[in-house]
Amino acid sequence: MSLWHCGTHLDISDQSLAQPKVQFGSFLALSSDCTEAKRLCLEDSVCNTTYQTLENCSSAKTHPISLDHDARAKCLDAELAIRSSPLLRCKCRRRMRRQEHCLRIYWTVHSSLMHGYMNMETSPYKDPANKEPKKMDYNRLAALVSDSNLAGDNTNHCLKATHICSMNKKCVRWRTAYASICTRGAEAGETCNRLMCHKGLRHFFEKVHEDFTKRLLFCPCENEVCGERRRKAIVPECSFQESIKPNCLSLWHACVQDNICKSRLADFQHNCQPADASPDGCPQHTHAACLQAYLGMIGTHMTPNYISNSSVAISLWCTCESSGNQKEECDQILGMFISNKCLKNTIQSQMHLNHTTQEGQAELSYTPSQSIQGRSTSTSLASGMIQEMKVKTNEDISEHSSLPRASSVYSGARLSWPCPVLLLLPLLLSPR
Amino acid sequence: MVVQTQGSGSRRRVWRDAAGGGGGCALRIFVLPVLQTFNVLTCSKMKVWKFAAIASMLLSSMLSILVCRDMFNGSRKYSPSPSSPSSPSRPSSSSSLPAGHRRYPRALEQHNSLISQYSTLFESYTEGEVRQLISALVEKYSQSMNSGGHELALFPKPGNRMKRARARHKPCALKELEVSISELGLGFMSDEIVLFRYCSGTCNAPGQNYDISLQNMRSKKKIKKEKVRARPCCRPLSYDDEVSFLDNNNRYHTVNKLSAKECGCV
Repeated sequence: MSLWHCGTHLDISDQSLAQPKVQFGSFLALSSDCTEAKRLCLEDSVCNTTYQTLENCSSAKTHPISLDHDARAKCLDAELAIRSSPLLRCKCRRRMRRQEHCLRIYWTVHSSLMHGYMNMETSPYKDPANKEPKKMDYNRLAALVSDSNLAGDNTNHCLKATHICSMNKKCVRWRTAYASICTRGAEAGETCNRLMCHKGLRHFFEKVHEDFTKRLLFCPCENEVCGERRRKAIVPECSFQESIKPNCLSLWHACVQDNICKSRLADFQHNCQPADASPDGCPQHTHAACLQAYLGMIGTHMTPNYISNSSVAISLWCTCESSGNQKEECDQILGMFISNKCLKNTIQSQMHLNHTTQEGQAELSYTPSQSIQGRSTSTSLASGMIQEMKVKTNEDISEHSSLPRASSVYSGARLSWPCPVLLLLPLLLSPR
Repeated sequence: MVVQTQGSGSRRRVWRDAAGGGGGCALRIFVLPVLQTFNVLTCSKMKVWKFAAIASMLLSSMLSILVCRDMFNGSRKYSPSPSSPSSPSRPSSSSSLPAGHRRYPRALEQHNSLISQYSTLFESYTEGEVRQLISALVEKYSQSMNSGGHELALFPKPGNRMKRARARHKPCALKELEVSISELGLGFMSDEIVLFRYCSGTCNAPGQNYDISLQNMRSKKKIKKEKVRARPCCRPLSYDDEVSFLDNNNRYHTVNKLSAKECGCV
């Protein structure tokens, strides 16, 4: 079983297309949402039966009950039939309500006997194209943080990202939610509730805007204090580490049993698959999709995290020792995180972005024009002038130091130009 | 005196005495150049010195004019204090000048934009003074960002009297402050910041029957030596949700009921 290249599974389906296709005349609209698509399918009697068959087949696959020949044939027919319905093309949104329900529908349609184990090539997620204009909010908060002296030293970018998160109600709320769950009972020595901790983490990365979460996790660090904060961001003692390191294959099996983890893994494989042909190593030429996919992995069975406070190396909490003759597959799973060129480049570019934007916030601190109203416009003018004056004095110092400081006033400078001329006159006349 | 002639020494001495005796600036402006030309013209042989004398005469007159004018101007330009531009809402440049030079500020006020006012004002400053001014302004700016909540952060500070009057009569309201966790004084050491919301203001509404009765009990000495309060005060009605943070030892902590959610007179 190969994870990245699933082979020529499509050839088999093309041959069988000669069979009469079931008509779904009412499906004119390409509804992209799987819940909606399923509802439409259930209204049609033919699609209804096909879908019911598929459901039985997929539940049969998850249980270790071998299907007899007739059942297998039925399942194959149903799988082919469903190809002509919009259900095949339906997707789920990352931040939708009842995400798990939508994903269940997706995997009912997409898991098949023909495609080997699992078809993990395509991602069940697809976000709508419209981007919310939330960037203004982030930049405004970032400017406020730069202004205040509480920002502390500018070298701890992770601390700065936390400060910006603290200024946003949603970010505080969901961060507190997972942090309190993941550290509950830690002082008493009890083990934490890992499932609830994972759920809290997933909610944080789903509900808080990506601008905050990605800067919190991908902050560039120059020292260990910053690196430790970055490593501790997801409370690894509860969500990442375990008393023993399981085998990566068992981690993978546990993941594909769960619809959400399976979907996140498929999304990650789809968007962060290393492509040697591409210059940045990523297939889609945008790091954003891979970044989003990585953030989606946090809070699942296969949660990745930084493994040290002095490097940006990422790994899973699993090992490939004692994998027997499946060591190659195990290494492949682990390699998705520890030796993935696309993922590495994505993280590096995001950290570089965070570094440069935070440097740039200093210039924003002198023009806080968005948040001022009314009579404080004069203050903004004054502050704008302060900036100009600062620049000006630096330049002017070098200019004026060369002139003779007879009267040492700026207005005198206007009249001072005849002085050197007149001083030169006697010098010119005397040699005669 | 540069030019010295023997012939008219006594005459020159008289004139010099007159110049020295007068002691006036104006006298020096006119007398010295005249003296010089007199001396020069008597010695016609020395053409070089003639030219030099004319040049130095012109130069000295120019310099004298400059010096005298600057002495008058200096008193005008050095008097406005660095703190005046910080309250741009008032035309304070005129109020801080001596009475005799009111003509100049009025000329300034004819400029219709604030920037040109400032630029003419700043033109008179030396580099050192401008630097001082900038550092003072930046300090004030950063101070106003630190003290007081978001409300006062970016506004110019009104006079002290106005501020006191306002603080006294502001009704009970929720206000917000950015503080670091360490500053909260709860025993945690963390550099993370939190938005601390608190209740502040006066409660001037007439009290309940409770307050009236309690007051009476106290005045009729039915309640003695007990600590009671017969007036409502501005307090939180409910508290915000809990807040988590990572301390400097890389441990997460959660605090509950830290900030106020709503304020009321209770």
